Amino acid sequence: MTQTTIEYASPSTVTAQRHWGRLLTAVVILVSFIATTFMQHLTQEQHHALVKSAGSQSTVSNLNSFSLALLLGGLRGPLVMMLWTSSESQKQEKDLEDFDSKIELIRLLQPEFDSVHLFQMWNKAYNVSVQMANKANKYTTILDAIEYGRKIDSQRPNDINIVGEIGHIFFDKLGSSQEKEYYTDRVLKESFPDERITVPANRLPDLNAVLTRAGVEPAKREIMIGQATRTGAFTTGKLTADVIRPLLNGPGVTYTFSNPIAYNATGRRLRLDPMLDLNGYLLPSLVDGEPRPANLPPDQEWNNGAELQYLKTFEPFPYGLSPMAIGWNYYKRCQVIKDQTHQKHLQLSELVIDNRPAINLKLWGEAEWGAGRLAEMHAFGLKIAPFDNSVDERARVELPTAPMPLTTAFADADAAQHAIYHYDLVVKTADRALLEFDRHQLHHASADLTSHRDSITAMRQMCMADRDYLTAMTLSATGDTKRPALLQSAVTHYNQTMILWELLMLRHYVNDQVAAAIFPRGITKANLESLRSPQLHALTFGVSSFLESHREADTESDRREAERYFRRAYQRLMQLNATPSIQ
Amino acid sequence: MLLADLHLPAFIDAHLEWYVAAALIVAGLAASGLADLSRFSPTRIWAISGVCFQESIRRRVLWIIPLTIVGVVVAVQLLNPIDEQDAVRQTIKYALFATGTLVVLVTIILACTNLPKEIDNRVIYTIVTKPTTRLEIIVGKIVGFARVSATLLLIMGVFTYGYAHLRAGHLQSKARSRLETMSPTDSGRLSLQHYADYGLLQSKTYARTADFQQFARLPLPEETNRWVNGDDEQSFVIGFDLPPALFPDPGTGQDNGGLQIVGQIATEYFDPNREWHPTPFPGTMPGAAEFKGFSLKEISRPAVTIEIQGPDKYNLIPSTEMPGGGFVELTGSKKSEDQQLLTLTAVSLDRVYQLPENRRRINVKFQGNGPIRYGVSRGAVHLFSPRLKSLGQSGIIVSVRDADGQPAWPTFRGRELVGNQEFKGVADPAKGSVGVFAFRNVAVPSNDAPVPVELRCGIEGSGEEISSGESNTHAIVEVYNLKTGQTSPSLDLPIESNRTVFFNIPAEAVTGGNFDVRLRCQAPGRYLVLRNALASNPALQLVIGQESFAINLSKSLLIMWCMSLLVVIVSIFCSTFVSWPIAVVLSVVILLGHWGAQQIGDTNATGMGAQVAKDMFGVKNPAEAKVISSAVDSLSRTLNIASKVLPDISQFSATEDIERGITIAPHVLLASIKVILAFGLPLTILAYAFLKRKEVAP
Repeated sequence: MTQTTIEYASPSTVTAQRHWGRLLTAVVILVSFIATTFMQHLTQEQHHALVKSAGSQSTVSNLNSFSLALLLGGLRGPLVMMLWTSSESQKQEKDLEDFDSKIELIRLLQPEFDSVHLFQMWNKAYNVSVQMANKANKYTTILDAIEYGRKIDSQRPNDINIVGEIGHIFFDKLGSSQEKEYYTDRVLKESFPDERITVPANRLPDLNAVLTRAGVEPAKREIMIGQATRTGAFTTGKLTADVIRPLLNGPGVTYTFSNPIAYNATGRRLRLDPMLDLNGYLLPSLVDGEPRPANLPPDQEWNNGAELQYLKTFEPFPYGLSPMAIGWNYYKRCQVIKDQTHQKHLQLSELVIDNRPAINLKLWGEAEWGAGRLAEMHAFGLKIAPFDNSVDERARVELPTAPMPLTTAFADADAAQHAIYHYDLVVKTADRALLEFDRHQLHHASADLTSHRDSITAMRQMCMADRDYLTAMTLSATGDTKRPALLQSAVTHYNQTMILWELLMLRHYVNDQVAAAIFPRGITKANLESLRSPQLHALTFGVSSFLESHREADTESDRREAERYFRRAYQRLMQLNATPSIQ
Repeated sequence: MLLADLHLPAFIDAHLEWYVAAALIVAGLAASGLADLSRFSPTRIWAISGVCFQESIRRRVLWIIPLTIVGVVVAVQLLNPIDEQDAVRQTIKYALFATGTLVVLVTIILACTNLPKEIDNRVIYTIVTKPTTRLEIIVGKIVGFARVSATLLLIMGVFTYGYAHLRAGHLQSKARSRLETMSPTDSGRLSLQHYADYGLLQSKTYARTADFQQFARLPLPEETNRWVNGDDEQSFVIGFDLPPALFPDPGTGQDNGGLQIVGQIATEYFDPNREWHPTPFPGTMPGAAEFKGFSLKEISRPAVTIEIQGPDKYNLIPSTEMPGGGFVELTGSKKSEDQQLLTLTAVSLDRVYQLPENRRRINVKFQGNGPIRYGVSRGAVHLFSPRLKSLGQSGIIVSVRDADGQPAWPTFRGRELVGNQEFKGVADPAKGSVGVFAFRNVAVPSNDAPVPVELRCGIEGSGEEISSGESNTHAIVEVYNLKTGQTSPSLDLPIESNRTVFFNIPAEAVTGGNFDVRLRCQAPGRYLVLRNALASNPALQLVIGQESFAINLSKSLLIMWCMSLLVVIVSIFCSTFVSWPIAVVLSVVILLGHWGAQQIGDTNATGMGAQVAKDMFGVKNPAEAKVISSAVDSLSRTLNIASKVLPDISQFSATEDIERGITIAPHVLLASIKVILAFGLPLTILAYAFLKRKEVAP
């Protein structure tokens, strides 16, 4: 019989074993944690090397969404569902408190869904902004939509959907909506940094008068005077500072760059970040990106990853960047991304992505043209009554300045320079637009772009003529040698303008049946250029009379518009004592 | 279906939960003997609770607190608030939500697992073998877990207070600095000034407006008429109590004879330039331009549309049952002449007969047409009953009367949306409509400090505004004191849609507690959307008291503690007869049962059965439809009765008021205590009864 002895470990031994076991576990966890951190860093470095500009700065408010999903475990789905329902019902009830917080959580929880981001950006820019009554609040809500897009863009750069939607909000919401005048004004001003103006104590008593003369509104004057009294300096936008500068200068008065506060205390965006320096040139950080690869064919476009890369060719912007300009830049980025990475847009076809830069350049040019007309009205001291959006503003500003003789003194010389700048920008955009249309035609040979091309060409001629006419007016009538050349150039361009608008009208605003019936034998829309100017004019006149008498309404507004441009050019030629080519 | 067929007397139905609670307590104690109750010892209970508390601490429940705090801080960083007040509001909301979730989760897990585990690992032997009763065990454990939840709430409360203070202080100082550069005309300036002056952690007590009415122009004491605008913009409503004699007994073969609406309604054109009287045109019609923007379709002759509403102010008689759809042209009534406006048929009035005798009130609503003002005086409209006349009475039914016996003024209102009224903005507020918020018998502060007021309304635009330049909406506010007869200077307030604007009115304007706040709106083409006086958060509120945030937070935590107490009781009750995982699920079901039953019950309101039969099952056979319909209706009734005997956790509203900066009223606290008494007490007795009969030790 054998005896088995069971040996029990003493309690102190068991405790010691447990202690060491726990310690070992803790050490393993710690080492794993350090190793994971190291590996993560290593892979991110590799990722950054492969995908330029990818990834965002990690902050608590920009918590990695996958980490968040991991933290929430299986609750992410139900939570997102609840947030969607709740935020949409809040929107319906127009209760926007904590609405944005919910949208932000949705963004973090559904980072990989572009359709979610497209909807939310559109939701904020269109549905939520219209719930605001005041334009300033509408504007900041739209900025909030852009901010949303930029957060996604910083996490996943060069996503065709996000870049396109940012462009859409800039171009269509800020640049073309019902409140575009207000929005455009804000964007133009905010594209510059602020300026800090020091005011010596002995100049303080004059400050109110200076600011009044500079056209600063009373409410803002009060703020500026208060600031200057307290701190010896006040801050204002660059464009306002430009107006103040001639009125307030001398010893002790300095103008220095000042970075504006773009966010309020709760992190809500109040204004756009500056995009230009004080001279109107794009900030290097917005145009300098990755260097162009050496092996890239010269005719191939290159997206360097910079925010406003494609606006470089249009600078300087001494009066600020318009939302249409910014929007166009994003559309262009979108197009190049499509070609480089072959991404597909969720909502738009490849054709639309490809032709938008061309078409939107044309629209941008037209907007600049309109801005030039308004500036010209100011320059001549002509006022237009406030109008609502149902009235065609362009129709009201096209002709009043046309019969202004060359000898007219400007009521506002700065406004004349402003108008000249706008007309010159139209020429730049038109030149680029024609190239863009060529580019698009290469990809889509079947696209019929003649109407766009013809109107751009006509607009370009008109703006060149107006630019030269106004520039000549700013020069001395006797001493300046450039003046005669400018006047001659204006004559040439105005003559060309008349021909181009008549051609445009006959080619695009007359239907084919009418053209076949009343165009002279052997003349078709394709060979209208073969007519001499007087013949062309006679034909235009005849066709117009015919359409008038037959009450043709389909193209009536277009024909009226073309007639206005024709009349403007004609009246200017009269002022130039030139013989119109139509005679 | 048994519950559904149960028709309880009204007095029992109204307080069913109390009767059930009393019955359970009596039955529970009677079944288990009162001996244990007589041996009830607070000392032993405290000792048992101490063990529970120590055990919970030993299980490291407090370690969850730092995690929760980190979670709150991270979540707050993700917020995207509208302004400083919203930031603090959301911070408090998140912190209290996390606190509530933490406490409920911890207590439900601890309480559900405690008893089953003690029975499994025989720890309970050490208790039951001592001279303790099962009642003391149950109560001791409830007290123990209540102490745990109190500890959690205390720590989280201190954190919430500190964190909210930190954020509020930071944002307040930022608001002060932002004010220095903010334009005086900015619509957010008044609010920012308020935050800078009063801080962001507030607990306010509001005085509510008794009524909000709007008029075409300010009613003057000497005027006999009060006016509303036409163009379907405003209306007035006159109430009539219909006498029982109007309705003959069924079976007599008689009918009520219908009613005639008779009255004098004055009219005046509010823009003489727009007045246009149609005349026949010889030859071709002239262009619209000749009418100075006046549309040829515009109705220019005085006319009103009449609606008959029931006692609840909802439409009672459809317009299709009224002559001309309720549209009545006024025949240029002179003050001395009544005009017979409309006749209501006997059949239509039968609908009123269906109502209880004391609720047979009809409200006649008049809405004017065209660019015309419509005026009405007290008692200007009455009803005439041919039946009452035939019974030898005068036949005239006058409108409802005020306390002084005079016919009451009609109620003057704007275009009504759900729970809201529209108020039209104009370019010149002096010529526009005026809204009157009536405050009566308000306990205003006795000091001379200005009284803070909050205005919040929606703004709807017509889309006709000019594109360039800002176009703020302005509310022009003044206060008329009924006691002194003085009107305070007007305040011009730039406002934004659905954002609260804060302003102060002088103390003397509210002296006596009876005053009218008059509102005008400067914003052509826009409408203010004002929440009705009876809404939980009406458009205009007066701050008549302030309380410390710490006290308000304590109240909120106390309500949460009451909720955690209920959770503990329900969990322990469940754990006495099922295993702990089932107990957790069952506890959640019991706690959410009332809400769920009510949701389904409410959805299946009267008539829902028929709709379900039609829409969901597509039944066309009437017999089948009736079966489905009655089954759904029975289910709905059953659920409604069931919901009454389940605890209503919505009564523990711990966060709603505090996050909106409102002082938690005593009745909110009482409501949560009532739930504890009505449901906690009987469940404790039931738990005791179950444990008494459970074999927990050999």
